[in-house]
Amino acid sequence: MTSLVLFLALAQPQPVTLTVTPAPLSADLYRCRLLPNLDELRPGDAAALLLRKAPVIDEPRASFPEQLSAADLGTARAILRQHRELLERTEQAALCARADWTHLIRVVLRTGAGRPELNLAGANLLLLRARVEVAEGRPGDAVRTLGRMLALARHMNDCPFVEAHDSAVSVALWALDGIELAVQHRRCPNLYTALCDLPRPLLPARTAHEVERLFACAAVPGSAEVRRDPFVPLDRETFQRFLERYRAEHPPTMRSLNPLADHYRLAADLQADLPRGRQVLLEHGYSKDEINHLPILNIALLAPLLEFEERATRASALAAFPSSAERSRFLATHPEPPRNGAGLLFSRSGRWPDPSEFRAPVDHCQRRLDMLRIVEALRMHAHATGTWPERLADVTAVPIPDDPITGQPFRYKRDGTHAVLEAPDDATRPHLLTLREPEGKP
Amino acid sequence: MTPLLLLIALSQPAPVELTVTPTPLPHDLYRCRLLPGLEELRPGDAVPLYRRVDLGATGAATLLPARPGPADLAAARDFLRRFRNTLEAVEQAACSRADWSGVREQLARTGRSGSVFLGQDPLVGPGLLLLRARVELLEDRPAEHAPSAAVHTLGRIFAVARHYNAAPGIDAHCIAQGIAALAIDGLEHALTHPACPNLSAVLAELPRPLLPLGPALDGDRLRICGTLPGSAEVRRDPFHAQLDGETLQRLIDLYRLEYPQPRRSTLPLADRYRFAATIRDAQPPARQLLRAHGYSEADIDRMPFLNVVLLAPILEYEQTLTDIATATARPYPQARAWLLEHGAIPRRTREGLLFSRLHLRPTAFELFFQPACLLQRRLELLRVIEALRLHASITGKWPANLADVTCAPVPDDPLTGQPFHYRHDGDAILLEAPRPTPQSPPHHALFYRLLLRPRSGETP
Repeated sequence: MTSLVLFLALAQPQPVTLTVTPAPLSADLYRCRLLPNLDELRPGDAAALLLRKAPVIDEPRASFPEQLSAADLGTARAILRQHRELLERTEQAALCARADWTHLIRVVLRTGAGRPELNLAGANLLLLRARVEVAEGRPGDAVRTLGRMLALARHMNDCPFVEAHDSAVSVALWALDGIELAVQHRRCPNLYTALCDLPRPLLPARTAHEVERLFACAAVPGSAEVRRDPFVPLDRETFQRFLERYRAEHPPTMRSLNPLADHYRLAADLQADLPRGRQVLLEHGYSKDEINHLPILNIALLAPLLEFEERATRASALAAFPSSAERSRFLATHPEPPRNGAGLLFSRSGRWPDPSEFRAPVDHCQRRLDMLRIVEALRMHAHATGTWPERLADVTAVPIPDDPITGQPFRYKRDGTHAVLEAPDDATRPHLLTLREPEGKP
Repeated sequence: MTPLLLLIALSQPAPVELTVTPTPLPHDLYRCRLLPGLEELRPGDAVPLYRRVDLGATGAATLLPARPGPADLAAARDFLRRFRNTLEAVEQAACSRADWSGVREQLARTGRSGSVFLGQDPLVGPGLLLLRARVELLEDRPAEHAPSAAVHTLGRIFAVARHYNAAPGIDAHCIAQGIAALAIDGLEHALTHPACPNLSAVLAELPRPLLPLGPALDGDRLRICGTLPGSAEVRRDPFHAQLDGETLQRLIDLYRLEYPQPRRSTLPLADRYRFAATIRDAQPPARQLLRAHGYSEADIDRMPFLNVVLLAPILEYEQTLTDIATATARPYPQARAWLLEHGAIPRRTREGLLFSRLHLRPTAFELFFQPACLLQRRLELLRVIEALRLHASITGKWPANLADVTCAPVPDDPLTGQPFHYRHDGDAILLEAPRPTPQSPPHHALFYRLLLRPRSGETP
């Protein structure tokens, strides 16, 4: 064991070990693309297919070792045969030209219906098929299957719910696991061009936090109406729905026989929240005169919404900085404003998520994609020179991406046939690369 | 003035002068974003709506003069009222998703995408939106609402541009560029409004690049499959694909067109004999190319002769497109160098390869790559202006240099990879994006002179 490998074995976190074969830049992007080609796309709506009920299937990811034995291969094929219909439907969804979730958004916002659950079983089966294809010596087919998973992840990410966004990130990370497996196959084509061809970011986080705002508006009846025109009082029906929501969130300690008891309680709460609510509105550009014209209930509804929007805006502004250093500089000079509305009527139950929390998994996913791009660039370099480069800067044939989170170059060390690729902040598993002799060489 | 300085002064483009107000980030990004928000999205397909545009509204974008008077404004309002239906259709389309599967199918079948937009003027709808944005800026609304409404309208134009860019083929990409340029013109105008919100965050939120070249490249590949009958089937399964009689006849017709004979034979099967002989002659170079693409000798032997000959130019073509996709994913200076070096290669005639002489020539993508980069550069410059406005709102003055701006990201010039040129000129600042290369035409340089307007309540 070389010193580098020993060092890595002792270091945390556990490295991703990849044994790869040198490979030239692929001559044909269209044969090993990670998103469907235009001529493969089908008309139709992926959303309808993804919302259909499906069984929960966990075995493919949970029960198979990394390298499939002959027995595992047989079992895996049997699972694929058993769920062929679901597999075909999932692949069909991945190949749909679009996923139209607008109908779903409207239903949820209008009725307050529960959030839809996207079943991940289909994606799970696709990953299993890719692994079977690798085991059968068909890495090109496996890459195509994994591309279907990425397409599926992008369709899921278009679904404007944070759970769907999380599912999309999971599916994309599974696909990256699969790609890491596929690139280790001797005959795997170089995927550098295919990885460059993917949109950046692969899974934008914007939709997720945008819909959380919508969902929050839908969850508290009257919020959307007040946001649209804060000066108009709620109509009777909306107020009734609001009161029910209030009752659910602030149950009375003692049951009263007075039918108006909840109204009194609400009035008292609104009165108590009024100074903080007014303060929030003042900070958001409303004049004192305007605030005096607002119904008290509208102030209570508007204030937490404005605070959330401000935080979301700040998260978006922060996300625009290309590196963590610049983000830190921004945070040092622009500390987050205090949340005056923290105790406001409907911000107690913590239903307003922190918009910045959506970004971390997306960034992590993008970082792994960029690390894979570098692995492929290194394979290309090894094909041209017969060995790993001394430094990343020695790879000149294609651009080497910087770390998307910190904005700094990835760290790279070489020791004989081994090389290590690490993220600058050590927050992602390092990649331990071992160079395998190409086929045909002694 | 020395002749050299005189020459430089004359070759400099006239600066676009903008007087802007220092403005902090808005509390609420959702009220003035540049792509439709989720709550604005509508179910349905945008493509049929774009076809409902009334061509009588052509020229709306230039209807208002630079300094409009009340009569101009009234005429513009009247124009907007007259074409209200078109405006509504385009706005609705901007908030829907565009499904270009019909265009894709047509391209794959006939190899022609241009005919899809025949009889249409895709710039009419965005022109109307631009006119409305300009009217909104001039209207006597509460000051803080006018520019937000205009920015909102301009965002619709970006959405339309993105829709067209998603359509396959270079024609749609060019249309998208024209539409996005309208929106950027409108944004430049909106920024000078005293109450324009700071757009730093919303500009950063736009996808980069705004108009990727990918769909155009993909469309080109589809076009080829549509041009060369049977190639799609052969590409899908070169070992087993068998062309039916009709496809074979179309292929022979194409062959006759590309390789005309000076004297036409009266024999009914003469063309077929000639075609068969050509296929035989084209075998060696085609086999060689297939070997270079990783097919083994045994694989090639398993393919029908015709499939070998059809597959080779397609593979060659795909390699060219792959090279262009790889090159254009690089930073602009490297991409430009590559395209200049290899620009002529993709369109050379491949000796011996059938159909590569006329019908399998890739589009000259290098011609379209640069305009897309210039468009992106204009957007990045607007981001810099917004970052400067933000800085000025915090410090009360322009920064000494661009590196002093920490409140918002300041992008580099995408064409040079360097920061934009920035210098003070009295109370004003000069922001310049120089010509990317000495050979570039003067209009490729962008030059802004920015003046700071005192905030309301401040003395100038």
